[in-house]
Amino acid sequence: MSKRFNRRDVMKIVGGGIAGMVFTPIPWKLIDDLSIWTQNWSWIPVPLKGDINYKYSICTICSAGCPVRARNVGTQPVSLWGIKNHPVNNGALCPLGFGGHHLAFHPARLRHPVKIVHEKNKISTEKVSCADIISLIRKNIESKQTPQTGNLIAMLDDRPGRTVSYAYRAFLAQIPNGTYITTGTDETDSMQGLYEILGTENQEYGFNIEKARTIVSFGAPLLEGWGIPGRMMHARKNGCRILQVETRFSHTASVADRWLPVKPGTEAVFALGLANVLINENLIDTDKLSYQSANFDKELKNYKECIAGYTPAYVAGRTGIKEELIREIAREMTTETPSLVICGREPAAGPFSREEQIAIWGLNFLLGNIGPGNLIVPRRSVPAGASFSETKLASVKKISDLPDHSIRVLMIDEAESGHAIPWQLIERKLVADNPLVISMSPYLAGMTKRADYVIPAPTQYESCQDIPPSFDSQTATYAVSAPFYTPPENVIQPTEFLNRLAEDIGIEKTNGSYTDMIKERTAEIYEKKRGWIYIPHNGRLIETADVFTGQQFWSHLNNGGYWIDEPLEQADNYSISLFGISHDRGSFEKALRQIDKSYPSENTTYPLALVPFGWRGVVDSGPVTPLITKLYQETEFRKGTNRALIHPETGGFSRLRDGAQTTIVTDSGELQVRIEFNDSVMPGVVHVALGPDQDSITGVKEVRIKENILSVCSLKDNGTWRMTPARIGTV
Amino acid sequence: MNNRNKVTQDNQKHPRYGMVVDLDKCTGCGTCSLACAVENNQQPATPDMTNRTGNTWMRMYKVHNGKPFPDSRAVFVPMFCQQCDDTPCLYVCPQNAVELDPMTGIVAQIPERCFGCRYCMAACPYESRYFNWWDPVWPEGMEKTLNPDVSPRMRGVVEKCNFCHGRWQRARAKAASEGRRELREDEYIPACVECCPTEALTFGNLDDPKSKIAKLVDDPNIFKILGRLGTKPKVYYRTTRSWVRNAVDRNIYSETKETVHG
Amino acid sequence: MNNKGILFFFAGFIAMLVFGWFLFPSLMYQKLEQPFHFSHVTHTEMTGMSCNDCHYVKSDGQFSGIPTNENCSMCHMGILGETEDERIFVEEYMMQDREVPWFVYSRQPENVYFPHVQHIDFGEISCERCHGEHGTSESLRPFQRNRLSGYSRDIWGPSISRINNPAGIGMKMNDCIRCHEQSELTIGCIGCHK
Repeated sequence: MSKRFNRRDVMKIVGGGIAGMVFTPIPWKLIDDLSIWTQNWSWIPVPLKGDINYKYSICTICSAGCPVRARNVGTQPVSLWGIKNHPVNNGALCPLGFGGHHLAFHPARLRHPVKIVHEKNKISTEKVSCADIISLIRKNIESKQTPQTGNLIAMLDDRPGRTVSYAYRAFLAQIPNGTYITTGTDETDSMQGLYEILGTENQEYGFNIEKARTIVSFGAPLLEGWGIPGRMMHARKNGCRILQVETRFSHTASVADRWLPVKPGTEAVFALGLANVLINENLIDTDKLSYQSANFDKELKNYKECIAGYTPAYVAGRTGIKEELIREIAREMTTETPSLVICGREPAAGPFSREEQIAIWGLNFLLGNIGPGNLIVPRRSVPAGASFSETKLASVKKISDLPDHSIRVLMIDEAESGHAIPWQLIERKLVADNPLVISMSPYLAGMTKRADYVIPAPTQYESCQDIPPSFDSQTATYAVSAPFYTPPENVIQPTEFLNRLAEDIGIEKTNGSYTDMIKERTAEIYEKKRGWIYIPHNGRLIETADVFTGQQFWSHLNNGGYWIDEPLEQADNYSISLFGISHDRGSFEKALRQIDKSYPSENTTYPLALVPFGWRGVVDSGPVTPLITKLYQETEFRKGTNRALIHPETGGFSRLRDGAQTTIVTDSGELQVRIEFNDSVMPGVVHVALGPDQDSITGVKEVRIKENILSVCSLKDNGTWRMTPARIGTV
Repeated sequence: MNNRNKVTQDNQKHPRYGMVVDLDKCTGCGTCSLACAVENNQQPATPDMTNRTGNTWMRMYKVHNGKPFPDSRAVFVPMFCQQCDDTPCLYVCPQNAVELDPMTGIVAQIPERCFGCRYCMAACPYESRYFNWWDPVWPEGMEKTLNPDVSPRMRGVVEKCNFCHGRWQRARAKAASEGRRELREDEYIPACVECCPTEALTFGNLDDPKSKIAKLVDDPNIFKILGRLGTKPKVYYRTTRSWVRNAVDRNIYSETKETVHG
Repeated sequence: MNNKGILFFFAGFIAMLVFGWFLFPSLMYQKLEQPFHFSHVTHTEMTGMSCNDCHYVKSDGQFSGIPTNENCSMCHMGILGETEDERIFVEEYMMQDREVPWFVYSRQPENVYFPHVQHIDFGEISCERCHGEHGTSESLRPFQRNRLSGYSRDIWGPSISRINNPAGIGMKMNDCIRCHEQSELTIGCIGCHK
């Protein structure tokens, strides 16, 4: 070559190469592969593949016990559905039920026993062994043997009636100062007023909702989750009328046939006003009612005198409902029959006091609703199982009935351990110096954040659980929630923990595993050969008597079957007292006057009435599926935490702007809230939302104990906090 | 082989799926929103997501009668893709990522084709299209609960209600295994319809005069939200109350996602 | 000098053509051996099993795909025969209860929905049309994995140019569409995309 190979030649080769490339597959193939690559990022999860099969179980998020059908890929549930036409709930599930299978993977999940270290602004966890916790409890039990206050070893369980509840009670009966308590804030507590009127301790009652044409609901969130939600939904679909007596424009109130916005705290007054009209206009069937009560005439006369002051004119003044409307409602209750009166609880605002409950439930007596075949029907109790029927059980106490500073060791059951219970309610019962609080919970959320130690319990669909009847069920029912998952290694079943503790302190252990205890209970139900069992696979009801063996009965239940008792033809003897058995006329009247006085307040420091609100399950049952953000955060369909709803006129008076950040001040403290103007709110009232905590939805890096609206509510001695005088702070 | 297909194809009349929402029955429980999210592998919100950046194919609105306390009434309106026959989002899509499906009448959104310009979101009068601002993230382990019939989407694409077409595919496969090309009425229903506890939602083939939905659509209380825009939605609403009809139409039209009473 | 310039240009041009048509395809694909060899012939001819015994449409219309250990366990509870592959299968997978991580030649991306049942029953398409003579193979050929997208060479088809691919060769969307068009099927995007 005459000339040397130069730079220009290289360029030419490269140029040729580039030109050539267009005629090769290289660019086209690369573009194609690249586009496929961009459509399939490796970090986007790929759903599991495999055989699709179905399994049946029962949801245990709340006490309703809705049957579910799980659609599985292999053994992994990928969605849960209601079972169409199921006799217990008509196949409906609530939004939370749809995410029940997510809870095993909840980010707030605890997988090891931990000690919670409470620091100033946050809490952190340290791993401990189960044995450490047991020895701590033993030390506390042993050092305080003397039976005086300040030494109670208490177990808090807000879902009594389960087999585990009996195990708790059997355990507590064996140790000195062992006390079994409920908070008295759940739905079942709203039934207590009814039981007082009926004067029966051991007879359970339920509702024949399907038969009712009208339901007058005092604060019960009927369409937002009440009792077994599917029953109410079904009744509504079939044209059941709802008259909602509630201050707040709740979801139920918005679609009810009538919304009766009474002033906060005047629900009982309104009920007595209705009773007054019913009696004075002779709308009640006295002949029929006289059969129900031993000394009916005297009782009615007494009651009539007691409510004589609650004339429509007076009640209209107190409640803000027009006099004529009160008369109209009372008449409607006797024309649009059968009509049922329900006393409920708002999940965040808590239950009514016992006297208010009595005043409200009493209307059912006047309407003749009580008794077999009626709207409020007696039902049998579900037996506790052979291992507990002989054993001594600790009695059920309400926490507000205990003296202050009396609990040394508090163990909290995982169910219903959300943040809808004001912690003050529990805190003031704990001893002042170093109480020991142990939570048996799958998560670090809700009430568990206040504990000192946590025993990680199995969560939804991780262990066999039994479902006693929901409080509203018209017959006894029983079902078993069969697990879909194997719990993580260090997760401990609460009964197993109790057994280890019992072994350590040298008392009797329970018989066999938890599943065995549930099996024993089903055996006892089977032996009675009563009722039917619903088989979800084919939608048939089999008579219990037609099931050949107890083993077969168990296997039906363990595969999603639902046992349903026959209706009870005759109740135990009851004698109705319209003032409740624990009251006489004097104390009832006194209590009502007290309630009546509390609103409207002439209080100039706190001119507003603060009424909190929340949704069942989301605020009271602990963590929920992370997908609940579809209702709370990604839409504003349900109000998120600390959103304060206020009428623009009330707002204008306090010189507020819509969307402003401000504080709500009460006697018990103050809280940062965000104002939202809403002209459906009663003027003079502020509703503050108790939404789900961020850590009970998606989990957070740093867990804090956040003050919510319940911590500024004024908690009364009877354990209620429905209404608090408040003001909007200056910004 | 091809001939056989030709013959069957020509004879086959494809269904045109639609839905009727009975506003008098809806109690606003929100179950449909959750069932939809579970069925269609929608991700839970990250802490910084808001009601503008979230992803709720089945979105619940509370529409108010506009009267102050104590005369307030409200109605719950489930709002999702209205499956317009005259489809604004399809017309504006520069990428052919939207299609009026010839076999079902479903307005099909194909996220893998979408490049995220969001013209369709601007075009949609119902605000029923959602943009994935983030890659979907599930809490550790929860990705195992994803529905195998629906592929998870990535960030930067628009998605929306496709009438649970994963269920349609499955139902067709099942029917095919029994030798049928056409589906029976109850074989394919979207998740929201299956879960509704008050049976407020009815789904079916609008072109089949024997179907439940065809009878419902003849009801004089039926209306289409924003029907005057002429987009011919296949989702109908029903109410016997005139204020509901007016309020729903007015409020959904004039108010954005952020300001409708929630 | 000019001529020489053109020469250089063509040298580059030709080199690139050679590279692009002959070297590039093999660079683009990574050859992976299957976990162990499986002989379809042995299974069909020696034991008299038919294709349907392992690959079948289930009652819900879903295709069973590659059999899982559960299916295989009916025969392979212990080691059958003396091959090394059998030993690997039984000892490393069956006994440890692990599914075999096969590289699937026809694996499609996640967003693709392919119902076998419609194609078999209504389309009357034979398995071989898409899967080739796989059912009569003695052993498993190496899996060619696309280094960028991760999918099999079988999706693209053996010809890198994809020009004049015979029917049934290649499993890209265009191949599906071509066949659907020939059969005059009206199928929209959601017919095959989930």
